[in-house]
Amino acid sequence: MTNALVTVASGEHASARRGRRARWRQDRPPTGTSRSAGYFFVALYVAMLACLGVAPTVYAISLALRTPSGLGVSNFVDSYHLPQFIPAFEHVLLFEAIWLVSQSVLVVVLALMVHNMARRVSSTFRFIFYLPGAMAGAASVVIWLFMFTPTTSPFAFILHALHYTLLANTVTPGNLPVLFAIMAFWTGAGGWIVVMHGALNNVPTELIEAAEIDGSNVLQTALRIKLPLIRKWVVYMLVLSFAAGTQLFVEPQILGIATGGEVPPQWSPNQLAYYLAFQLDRFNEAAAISVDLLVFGLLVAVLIVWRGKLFEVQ
Amino acid sequence: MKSFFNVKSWRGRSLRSRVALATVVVAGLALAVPGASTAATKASKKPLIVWIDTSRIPYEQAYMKANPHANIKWVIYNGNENGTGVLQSKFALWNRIGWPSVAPDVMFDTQNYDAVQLGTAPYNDLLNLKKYIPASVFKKYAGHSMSACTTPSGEVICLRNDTAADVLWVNAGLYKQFFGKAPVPTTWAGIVADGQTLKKSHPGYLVGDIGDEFDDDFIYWGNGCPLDEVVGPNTVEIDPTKPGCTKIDSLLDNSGLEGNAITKTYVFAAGGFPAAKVVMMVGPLWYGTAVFETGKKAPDGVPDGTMAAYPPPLSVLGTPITGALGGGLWLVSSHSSQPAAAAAFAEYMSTSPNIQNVHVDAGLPDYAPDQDSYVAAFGSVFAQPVNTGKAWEKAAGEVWDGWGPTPWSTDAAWASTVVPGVTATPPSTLGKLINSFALTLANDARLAGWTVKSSSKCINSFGGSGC
Repeated sequence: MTNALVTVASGEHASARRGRRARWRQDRPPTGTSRSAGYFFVALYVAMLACLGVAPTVYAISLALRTPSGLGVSNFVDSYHLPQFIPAFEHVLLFEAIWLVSQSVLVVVLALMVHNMARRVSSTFRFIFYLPGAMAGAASVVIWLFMFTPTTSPFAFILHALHYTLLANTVTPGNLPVLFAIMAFWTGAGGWIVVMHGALNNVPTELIEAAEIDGSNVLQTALRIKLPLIRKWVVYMLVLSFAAGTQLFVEPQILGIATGGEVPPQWSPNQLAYYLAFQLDRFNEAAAISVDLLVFGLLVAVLIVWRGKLFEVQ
Repeated sequence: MKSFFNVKSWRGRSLRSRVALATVVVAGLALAVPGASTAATKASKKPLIVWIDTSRIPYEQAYMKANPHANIKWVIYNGNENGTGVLQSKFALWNRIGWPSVAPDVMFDTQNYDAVQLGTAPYNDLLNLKKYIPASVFKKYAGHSMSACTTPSGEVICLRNDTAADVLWVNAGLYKQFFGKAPVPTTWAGIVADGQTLKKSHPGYLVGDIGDEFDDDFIYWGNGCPLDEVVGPNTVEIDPTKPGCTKIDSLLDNSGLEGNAITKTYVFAAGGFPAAKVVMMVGPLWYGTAVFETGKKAPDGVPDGTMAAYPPPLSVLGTPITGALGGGLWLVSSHSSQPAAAAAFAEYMSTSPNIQNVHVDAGLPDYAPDQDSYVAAFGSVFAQPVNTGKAWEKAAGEVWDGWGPTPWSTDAAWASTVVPGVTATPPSTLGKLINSFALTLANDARLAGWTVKSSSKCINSFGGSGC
């Protein structure tokens, strides 16, 4: 995600031609000093990845496979048979369906619209879209808690129109996937609009000019020229968002604590794993669920990458 | 960059050795930081480490005043507040990596179900106090209150601090105004009948509350409804078809009061709770100072000397039982290096009038010999202070031992199933919602590895789709 932002942002303010020149400069072999600096930074990253990414994963897999009677899969079987297991995955899939569809459509539409604006107006709008993303995680949940409470919300008129008078009316089990999708959309969409805008800047101006000369209107240019050329970025957004979405934790956890338990503490698979490990002292089953999530995320990523032809060279 | 790192030394090395060296440097930096902080000076004698919540800070002050030279390190934490599981998560980690020297010897805990969970497998982290405290002390605690501190195998793994038994809170002035000299109700049916009078003649006045995240404690616990009854080691009976459940459901559902004289507003609602409109309400004894006589002006509060406590209503089964909401525990770690001192400290905190007469909200000491002086110290805060004190003491002895302690939260299950239903437009009924409440409890029990006994079909069916 960070890498993507940096790559695209570097081309963002430059015209396509200047962008190409910059890339040509980057392709030249770097001098010795900058090369060793590069290795230094990569080494830092590799060390962090090993300590904070690979080692915990290996530990989780080894915990998940460890059973009282030696190595086995009983932790996977036992955790699957918990009454909360299937509902937790259902909750998260429903949330993902609502969130990913609305995010994909709205982010692409907004990015295309913003890209057609004059540069100064466009950058103002991108900044405004990005602002809610500055309050991610726990901070955003607290703000949304106010927004969802009919007595304190600035959008109380909407909640009253739905006959909601108490927070308990908003936070019903049926509403939860929608509420979490709204939170996730506002924290994530602004960043992705910036990314998509950068991707659109890399669409060669010659191509758009040629289309306009051939009589293509704004809508046709957007849908037939620009959209196919940023498809890979949409796929990229889907892969990362899906993986992040399956790990939903902070939002239901804090909303649950703030409402005295209206969101069950095992609502999402990640919460179920946390509950098993830190409430019931059953780390092995918790590890099995986190391995399930890893495999699930990887499978869906492979599927999207394969179907979306992310690594195909044009 | 250059000034920080000698670039020359990096030249001429293979990629692999550079990566390896960088890794070692980074790992070294990471290890050096916590290493520096642990090099503290060694104390001559290890202090007793005691964890309390912010509400208990007056206890600390009272203790240090009475024992100014005590070697105690007081640590403030959240009291293991509902749903946060601080002790569970720390103990689980310490059980894997070893107990550090900063681990507490004694803890104050606001969750009644914690002791049995932390004191039995897989945790087994609480000290059996039977070896350190004489049995005569345990016998002086009110009613069945020590059952929350007793494991199925008979170990005593905590001491009760205070009781939060449910009583009937009555606004003496309003009651006299509306009902004259008629006796205050002693049954749930009596409360409902008074509610119907108010609904007709004085709409806006209240006889109760539904829709709080802990109302299950007086609606079901206080009426003998077995939704959390421990019937054997790791075995719980959850049966919403029993009369203790169905009778109170139909009484309240058919009263026509839900949403008017029985309000759905949360007692700690952000928009304020109309405390001055309450004519009567079943609630824990700490409601007295936390909900009514809070120092707030009407409609959110009432002046001192307005509210009086009456004994809790008889259950719908006709038995003199009540529920409870809260009350604290003193826990002693089995990993303490000075178990005798820790147990003696917990006994002092739980029983000494020096501590128990410090007013931390209204929570009656569970240690019966401290109760009278505690009540007397309230003076004229409540109307009819003598009767209020008697009602508290009666309620403390009537808390039904048919609920818990189990390692899951009945309140959280109630909040996620019943609260959204009864507060919705149009509302659902308790009679319908109790099935999903009971099923959530059954699934919480199964998740914790317990066996569930029930005569209800929908509880026994896995996943419970048949409800």
